[in-house]
Amino acid sequence: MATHRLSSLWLIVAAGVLGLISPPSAQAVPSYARQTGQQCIACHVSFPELTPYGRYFKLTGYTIGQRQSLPFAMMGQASVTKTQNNGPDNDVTARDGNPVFSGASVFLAGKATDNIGAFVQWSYDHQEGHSALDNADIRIVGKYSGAGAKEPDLIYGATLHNNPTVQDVWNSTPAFGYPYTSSSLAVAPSVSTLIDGGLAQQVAGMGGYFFWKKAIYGELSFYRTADGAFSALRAGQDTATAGGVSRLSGYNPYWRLAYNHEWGPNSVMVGTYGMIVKKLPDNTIPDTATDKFTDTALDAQYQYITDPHTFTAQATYIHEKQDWDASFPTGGIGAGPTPGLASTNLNTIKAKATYYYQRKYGATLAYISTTGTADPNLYTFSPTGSPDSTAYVAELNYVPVQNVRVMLQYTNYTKFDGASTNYDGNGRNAKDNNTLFLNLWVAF
Amino acid sequence: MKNEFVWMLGVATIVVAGLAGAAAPDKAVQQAAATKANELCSACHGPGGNSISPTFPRLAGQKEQYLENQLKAFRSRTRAEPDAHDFMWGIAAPLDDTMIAGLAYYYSTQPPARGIPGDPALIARGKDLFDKGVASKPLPPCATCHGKNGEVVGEWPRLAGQHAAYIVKQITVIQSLLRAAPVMHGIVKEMNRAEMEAVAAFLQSQ
Repeated sequence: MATHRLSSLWLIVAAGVLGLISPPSAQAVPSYARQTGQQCIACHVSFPELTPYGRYFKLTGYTIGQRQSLPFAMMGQASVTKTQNNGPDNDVTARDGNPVFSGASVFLAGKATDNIGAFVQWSYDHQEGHSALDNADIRIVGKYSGAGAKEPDLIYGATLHNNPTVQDVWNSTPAFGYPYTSSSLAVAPSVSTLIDGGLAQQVAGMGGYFFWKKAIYGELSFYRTADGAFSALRAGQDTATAGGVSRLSGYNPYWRLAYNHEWGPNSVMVGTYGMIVKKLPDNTIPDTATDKFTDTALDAQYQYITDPHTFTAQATYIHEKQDWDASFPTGGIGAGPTPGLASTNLNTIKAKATYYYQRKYGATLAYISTTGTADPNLYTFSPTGSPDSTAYVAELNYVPVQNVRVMLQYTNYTKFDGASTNYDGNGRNAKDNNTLFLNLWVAF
Repeated sequence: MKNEFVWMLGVATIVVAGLAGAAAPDKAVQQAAATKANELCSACHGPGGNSISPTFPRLAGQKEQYLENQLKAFRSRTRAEPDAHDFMWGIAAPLDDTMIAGLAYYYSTQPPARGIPGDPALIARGKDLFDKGVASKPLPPCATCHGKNGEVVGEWPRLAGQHAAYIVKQITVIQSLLRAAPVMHGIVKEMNRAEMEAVAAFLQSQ
């Protein structure tokens, strides 16, 4: 009976958060750590990067440990952003050089039953001044062990989530890929592929996955507009303004196949993922023709985890083919894109390497680049019509205790929105957007 | 001579105690423990307790009483080095005595994987240390308690085949009193890093 009451309470709380009623106040410890009794480093190299055990925890649906009656945690961030050239009116980056409370999140994260668990993040953006549902992933899982097996031969599950790749367990895919934290105040390149955050918190994703003998991971999911019964998955997003959220046609497939191998303190993964999306040009105008985006990606991850040395590296390459089947013949629908070509491409490369000493002192170097077909009609912000941007990132981390991280991050742009110099036609250069970002991250 | 007598008497007592060990848990407990080991413990300690990552000790073939003692020490938080705190306190907290006994029995009866080869010269130096100790230090032959090649004697832990990095870490945390093990602390307190690594390489290779 007590178990039944707890289960009911958990579901009520879950419904409360997803249903937009105010969540109860948070507990004082990150909820997964409280559920498992283990500390952050069991699952994370550094949040959000997962260790092999962290991947197992996620694949098994966040169900390891003892269910908490109120599985909540909180996260807060304060930061200072300094832009190299903040413009003649000092307004390229808001509050440039001043400390700001960047935002905060409440997590509803934990197991509901031995087979059902969730990760649901509700975030408040201080700059935007509003809160909304952030990443969400709810799972139902199972395990299969053959006769005499001493570990599960097969882990399988179903996931309902709201951001392509948020369900993935390797940190080479976009949703939990690098940069893990970046300034929300600094300007960022205008163009990225659709799978690289273009649908985040706007869609309902549902699918099934398996992980066989810790070696082969496969997943097939489908994404649809998060409206109707799924609208909670985009709660707080702007659905009324053109470009506010994406509207998709039907159910759009996503695939993932990865090979994983672990030996000694090492683990490596090589994989592919991608999706085919039919998207309405203007989300406020239903029932129009659609543009088609085909994203095909390769990715890899390597981790070497010991005490005191930890080294990890991730890389991904994303190729996006954009078929403007609706927008090109019509010259644009509503406030949607106005491509001058029937078909264009984007290519994104992300690569990063991280070293941690004693899981306390960290350094990261990263390369992030997006290039693509020039089209002045499509990329109207660029005099050259090029979407190209390239950045090098260097980052230092200090983790005095496992739930506090101090980060100093420098982003160096060699190309921004199509050019290295005068990219906006008003004399602004890519390097003017170079950003120094000091961030304090606390979870409790 | 007197010291040797005391050592031999102690070891003999422990061997007798070990031989007189508890009866196997009943089948239902064994099954529950095997399921727990499969679905939870194997995530870090590997299938049947033969872990892949040196962060996590190999448990296959470990002494049953030692495993039981350690799980209870995690549960009561009396074993408190950083890794015990970070990884094992939470795992052990919900385990009752029956499950602990079942898990201890399960891992003690699993066949240990073969040792991991290493630098022959380092292994030879480690074997010499393990067999003879260091006369100039309070470091008696390890084999006296841990058995020939680190295999089981009495209630002391089996060390054969254990990850070298794990052994070095345990000696370090015992030496620095982060892990409370009064007997071992007295033995390893003057052991240097090179000696630890040599002994660990030898044991890992067994």
